[in-house]
Amino acid sequence: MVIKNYIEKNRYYDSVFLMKIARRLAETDGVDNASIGMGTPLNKDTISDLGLWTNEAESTGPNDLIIAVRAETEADCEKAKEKFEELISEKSDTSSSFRSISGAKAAVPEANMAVISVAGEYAAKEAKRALLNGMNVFMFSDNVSIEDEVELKKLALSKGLFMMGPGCGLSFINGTAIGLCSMVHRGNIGLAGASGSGIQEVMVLVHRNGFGISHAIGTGGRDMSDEVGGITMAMSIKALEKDENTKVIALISKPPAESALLKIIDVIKKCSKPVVVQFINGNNKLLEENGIMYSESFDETAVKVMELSSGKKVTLKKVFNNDFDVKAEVKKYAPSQKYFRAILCGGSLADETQLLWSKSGRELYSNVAIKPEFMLENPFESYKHTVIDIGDETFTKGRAHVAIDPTARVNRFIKEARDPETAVIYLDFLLGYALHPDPASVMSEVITGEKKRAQEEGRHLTVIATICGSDMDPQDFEKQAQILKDAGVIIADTNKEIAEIALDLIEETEREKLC
Amino acid sequence: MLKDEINVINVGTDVFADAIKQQGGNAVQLNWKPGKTFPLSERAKTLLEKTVYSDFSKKIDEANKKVIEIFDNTDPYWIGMKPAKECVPGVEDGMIMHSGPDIAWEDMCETQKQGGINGVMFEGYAKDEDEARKLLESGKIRFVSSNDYHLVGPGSGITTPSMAVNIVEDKNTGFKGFCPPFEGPNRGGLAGWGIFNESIREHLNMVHDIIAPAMTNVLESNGGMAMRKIFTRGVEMGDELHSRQDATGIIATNELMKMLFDADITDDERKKCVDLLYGTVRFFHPLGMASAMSLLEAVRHVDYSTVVTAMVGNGVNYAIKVSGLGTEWFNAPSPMLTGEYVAAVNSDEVLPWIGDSCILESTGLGGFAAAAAPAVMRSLDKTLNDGIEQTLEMAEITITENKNYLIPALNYRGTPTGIDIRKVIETGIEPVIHGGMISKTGKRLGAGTARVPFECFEKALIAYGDKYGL
Repeated sequence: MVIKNYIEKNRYYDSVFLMKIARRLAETDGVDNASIGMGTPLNKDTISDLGLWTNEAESTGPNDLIIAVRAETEADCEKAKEKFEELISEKSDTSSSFRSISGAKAAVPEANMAVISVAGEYAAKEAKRALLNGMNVFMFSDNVSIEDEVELKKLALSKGLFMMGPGCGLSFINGTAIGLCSMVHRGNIGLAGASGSGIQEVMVLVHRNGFGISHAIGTGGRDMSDEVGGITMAMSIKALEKDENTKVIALISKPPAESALLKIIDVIKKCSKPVVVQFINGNNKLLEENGIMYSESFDETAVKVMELSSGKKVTLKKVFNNDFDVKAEVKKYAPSQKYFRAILCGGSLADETQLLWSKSGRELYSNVAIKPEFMLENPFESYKHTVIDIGDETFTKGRAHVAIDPTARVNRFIKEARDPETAVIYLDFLLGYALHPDPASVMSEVITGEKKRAQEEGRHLTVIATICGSDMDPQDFEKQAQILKDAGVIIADTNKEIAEIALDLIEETEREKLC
Repeated sequence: MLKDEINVINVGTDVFADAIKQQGGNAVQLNWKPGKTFPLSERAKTLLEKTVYSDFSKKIDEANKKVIEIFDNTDPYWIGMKPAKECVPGVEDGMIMHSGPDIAWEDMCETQKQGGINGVMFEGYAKDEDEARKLLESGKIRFVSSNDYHLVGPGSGITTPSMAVNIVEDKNTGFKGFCPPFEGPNRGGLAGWGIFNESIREHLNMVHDIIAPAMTNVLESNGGMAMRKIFTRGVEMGDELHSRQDATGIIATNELMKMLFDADITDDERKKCVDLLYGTVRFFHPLGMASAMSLLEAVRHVDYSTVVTAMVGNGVNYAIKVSGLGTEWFNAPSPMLTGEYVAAVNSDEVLPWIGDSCILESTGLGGFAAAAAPAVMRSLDKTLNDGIEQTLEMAEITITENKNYLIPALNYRGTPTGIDIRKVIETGIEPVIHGGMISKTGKRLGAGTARVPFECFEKALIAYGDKYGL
């Protein structure tokens, strides 16, 4: 046994605190006994009585700290002294509060993802800090200049980090839902793209049909522009190609700039894994010429990736049974009722709806029209058949996104429901983390109220909906569906299916009116 | 990224952090505020990246680590009280010291000029004030910055060669710091507020002739008075050592009582010492400052270090020094204090920051220890929560948590210590400093806070880049 006294002159600690530390020190391996105290006569006696005294402690006074240790070996004593330093500076971390990314990163070195949603004017600066600190960035914020975006993405690229956004709605990385994102099963289908609700729609379809997602990487809405040139998209494809859990890749994006598309085509051609591309309303000619698989709806994309994943034919599973009597429904309409109105939280769902209508040769007006001739003059006033992207910032200025704060949609719904020309209203319900905890209840109340009101006024409102979410989402998929059904809402499995139902209803209405 | 467990730092709405936690993941929510944004020159931007994110940063971190070790192990002793010219290296007859950075006579504020004139009169270098003014104007009497002479000058910071000063020695490094004692019933007096009259003259002479030798005797026969544990206990008891020394003062008085009682001095000397101690509000303040100075002297020239070693003002300019840049000053216009006035005051009567006392902030005290001092916060019409916020904010611009100053309200975390110019520039957070507000005529107007101007740090960074060839 070796006894050592370590002295720290003029180092003051409270005596009860030191007793606690001494007790823990004595429990350390290799330590036989330990006593720690300020050099008061009483403490000196105690140390001496315990047989832990050495002459080094002789010269200490009440302001000096004595660490007295008895241990197996000299080395054990040294270890005990180190252990003391550790114990004395142990923090009970109940009050950590950080102002800056650097400060937080210093305290939590494992942090690897900065999620940024501050106002656009500040977002770029914070993102740069995060990248310089070696972290990936998920940027929900928009209103960031294109120059900043290019600079950030180049910086990220040079550091091998991901810059997702600006304007990135969701990502699903290694099982973690980031942003406004559904929780789904893991599997071997990897997604990337610049379309929040589009990615989510494919994710939940894949999940519902028994497949799973390896990762879904959001790139931000402008990634495929001339200026950015698909930096994040290219990185995502390469990362998914390397990722051993990914077998099939799907890219979903708004129409790309040609220069960016050419770069991406190059990356896709070099990719050793099958890639399915869906450019919503994009020109697929170039893809076709290059022999790249493409699809024209989320349903089709989902089916294709699942077929590639399993090597088998896949038909989408029916969850909701909606074979209702279209004719009977239409008969209930008043003569004034003839139009379809969609009020959607998912921007890509609004795009796809327009696309499907356009394929059937019908006019559909919108505040986010994909064809200029269908642009609404006033986004606050619907015209004929209309689809509104209610998540557009025209409606949400100064508020959270409408999928978090549904006020804007509730108001618009009431407006549309009271329009005597409205026959069918379509609502999408996005589920997932960070989204509104009970969107169905919020809407069902007004739906019931407005349906009743319409009835009293001699009209009949058809409300149709999709739930873009999974049974793993915190909102409880089943419950949300039940709430909507109870409010008389017709639910369809996918956005595409809704478009078919709506078109049926409108066609039937027109036919009815001709008779 | 695809292989990693996602671990989030969330900047913005907490909805996203909560979502990650709900999934069982880790997310830190930043207490983010837009804060001030300072437009940085291109040169500064480049230097920031080089000093923070290139390999060169390792060199800096190593140097700063050395500095922090000295901070951690500081062991200051109050060892005596002697006339400045007898103990302060470089101080000799024919010079007067002032607070703040170097400044030309013609640029000086009236308060400090008057202090200089009064200092000359006290020393008897001139027969009247006119002559004194001329001597200072012409440079025949050198009017120099205290900080370059290991001296701390609170307020106007007037130290004259025969004025007795407290001597504190850091036993860890052997460096010394000096600060004139507060002047008993005259409070700020000549040294602090630059004022002078017959009663101040008599008092200073009495300190010089009787109290200084007696106290030196007392201190020497006790091997000096160890200060560190007084600071530790004082911070634990509510002092931040800049605006409040109630606890530290009482602990020190308690020790001095026995020393004075046992000392081999006359009853008259003993009585005069006791009178001074009991008649001087905040007598411990100069000791705290001298201690901080003894520590900072040891880190004045650590190559590559980006740690601030001085923050001082002279009512016109405010300036900092940086360890890796030695004794060079980095100036900006002196900031105004905001706070509580003791009486109705015209704002144009208030002097911008004057005095060297923020060397306390440079060592992790004062504004950096706000969370330890609820009474100070109250006197500023703030709350303990504000103090906690302030301390945590300062943690963003410092390198370490102090090993000696522990804050009960933060579960005994140490005060944020070692201001890193890189962090100030990166975060845009300017150091908070506590202080007294002084009128242009040398009246105490109240207590307040200010922020050290960002400009000082940007200038320092550019000088750093030039010196180290970045």
